[in-house]
Amino acid sequence: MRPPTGVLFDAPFGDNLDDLVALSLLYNLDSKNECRVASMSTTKDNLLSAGLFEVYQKMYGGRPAAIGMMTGKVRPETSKILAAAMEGQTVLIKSVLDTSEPHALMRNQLTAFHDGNAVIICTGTTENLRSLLKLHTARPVVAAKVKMLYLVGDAATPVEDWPSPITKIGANEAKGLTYRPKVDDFSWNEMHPVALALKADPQASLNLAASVAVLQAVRGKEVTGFDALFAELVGAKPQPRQRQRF
Amino acid sequence: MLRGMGASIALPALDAMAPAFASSQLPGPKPVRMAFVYVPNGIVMKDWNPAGEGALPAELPRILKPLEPYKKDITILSNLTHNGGRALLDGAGDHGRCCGSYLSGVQPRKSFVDIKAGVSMDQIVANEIGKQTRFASLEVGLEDARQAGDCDSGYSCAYTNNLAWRSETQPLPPILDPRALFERLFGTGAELTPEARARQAKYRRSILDFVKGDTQKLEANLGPTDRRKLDEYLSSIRSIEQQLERAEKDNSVINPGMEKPYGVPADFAEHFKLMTDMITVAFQADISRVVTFLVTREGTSRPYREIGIADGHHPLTHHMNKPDLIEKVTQINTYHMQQFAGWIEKLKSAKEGDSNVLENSMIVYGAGLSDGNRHTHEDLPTLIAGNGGGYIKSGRRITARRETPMSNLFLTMMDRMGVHVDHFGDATGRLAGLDLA
Repeated sequence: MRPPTGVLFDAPFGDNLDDLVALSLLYNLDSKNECRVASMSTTKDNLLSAGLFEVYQKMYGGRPAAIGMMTGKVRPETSKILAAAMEGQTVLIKSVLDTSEPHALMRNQLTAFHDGNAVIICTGTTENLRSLLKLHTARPVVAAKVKMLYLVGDAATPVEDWPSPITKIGANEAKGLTYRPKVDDFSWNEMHPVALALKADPQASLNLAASVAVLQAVRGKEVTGFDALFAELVGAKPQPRQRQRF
Repeated sequence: MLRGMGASIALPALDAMAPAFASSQLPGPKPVRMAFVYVPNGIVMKDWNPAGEGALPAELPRILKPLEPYKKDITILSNLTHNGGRALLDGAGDHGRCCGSYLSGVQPRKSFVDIKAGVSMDQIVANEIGKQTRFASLEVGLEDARQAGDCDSGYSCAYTNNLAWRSETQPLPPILDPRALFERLFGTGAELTPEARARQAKYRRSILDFVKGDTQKLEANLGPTDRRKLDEYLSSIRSIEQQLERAEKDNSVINPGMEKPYGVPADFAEHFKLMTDMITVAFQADISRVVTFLVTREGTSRPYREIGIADGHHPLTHHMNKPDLIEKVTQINTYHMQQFAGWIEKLKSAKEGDSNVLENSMIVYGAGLSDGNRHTHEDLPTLIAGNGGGYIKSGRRITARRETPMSNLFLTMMDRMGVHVDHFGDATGRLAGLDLA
């Protein structure tokens, strides 16, 4: 039996609400065994941003896994949303040594998947993907394992010679969506990052392009009715895990 | 080289040789040596990792305690990972994979017939600098083990029982018999028939007797410091000979009707000391600069009755967090470290100009698994004794970022050995923070 698709997610987590919503959606789909969260990496040199993943891993019952974080003082700022989402959270990530180099983490995680059974979702900068391709022997791994790269948002820069198919999901594609999460959706855990972010900034702007990418990556391009699916899945309480070993 | 009838002994670096060394093609002022000491079945990490970063604390954790007198000479490395040791869709067989990938940096092929790993880093170095020494590399071990068949869930015994790989398909089995190692290092290299061996045993003389003439001639031309150094060196060879004789006598009293226990000689500590004493001499005399030492084979179920542990090592490591079983594993880990510390002392006391052999070496001690209970391949227990001829600022703990490939360390070590390669295994670059720069 083929295991669910592995999802690698690389984004400046904490810079906008959409990425937090997309994470909630992704972890919920993982808890339903529809996909497997393979690797999480942030393109921000910010420990709170890396710590977000740890919060999600614990909250959704995922296995503790290495978390990638860019260094070199790139995009280090802590947004209002990120500060709120991490307020009062207890995390083990205390220093850069508790995180991984994103490109090394992605390469290692991809090697654990069947051919054509992984997708990468990347919002914003594609620097980590470029670094991944530069790694010795990584290109054939990417070519074999990655069935689709989702480049999300209008700022996503193309990656030259990327060896797998690419789907671009711009902000326009999510423009018509009306779904907006509410604090009460997460009443099952008052420390949920989305709930905390919404409390701190109820009017935070939201474009759901990353969430659309998550749904397409997991359920396929033909998926429709995004608003209803978001309403059903984003705030849902995770199911107890009955993981299968592959 | 001291020569005699059917015997030759390489010399240590003497002051009188300084001009000769200066004109040689050594990568630095003193030859840098490299050794890998591999222990199986992981290590109890809570008793391995020292607290904090940077300078090592006054008191080391329990397993490292035997190294306390040499704290300034060691570097603890944390968070190094071997991705090639992980299942990566190949299912069970972590012991086979972790040992097969340890020095090769690649995931070995799951097979017990059609084996394939990668050229190990020691052999890459040996291929480059081996011409400068009598032996390009030495492969040493303590546990008798087969080379073929299935040793771990479909992985060949070639993976669990060897560290060094000359090519992707050719492992280099370790020498287990101290006598064989001794003859390889100091003898003519010719294979002896059983009759010849018996004749030699009957009229056994020290190898030093055969080179007596050369020794006397050399001594006449040496200053007092060199004479003392030569005397210490030859005494250490004689001491090894005596240990061998003792060990062989010990073996002769074992009832041949019983299955012989692991190892030759029967006593583990004595076997360890014999082998490492010979490696020390090989380093001193620049007979070889590259050594791999498989303490016992990966996945071994060897009991340690020497320290009162009758259970097999491997079953004990699957302790299911039972404190009494963890305690036994910790005792085995500590026992190994005690033997290693004895070797470190020996290397440190082997003077070499103003420094010592340890200082001019990089002796890596480690395992291919961290938690033997869960078979984890990240944060592998790793330490380096010696500072590679002033390259490593030792006495510290260096923690790399998570998932940092062990191959990064190997690339860095290869640089220090004067062997520059662009890629190795799954390396993502050199290991930051190890060098003095």
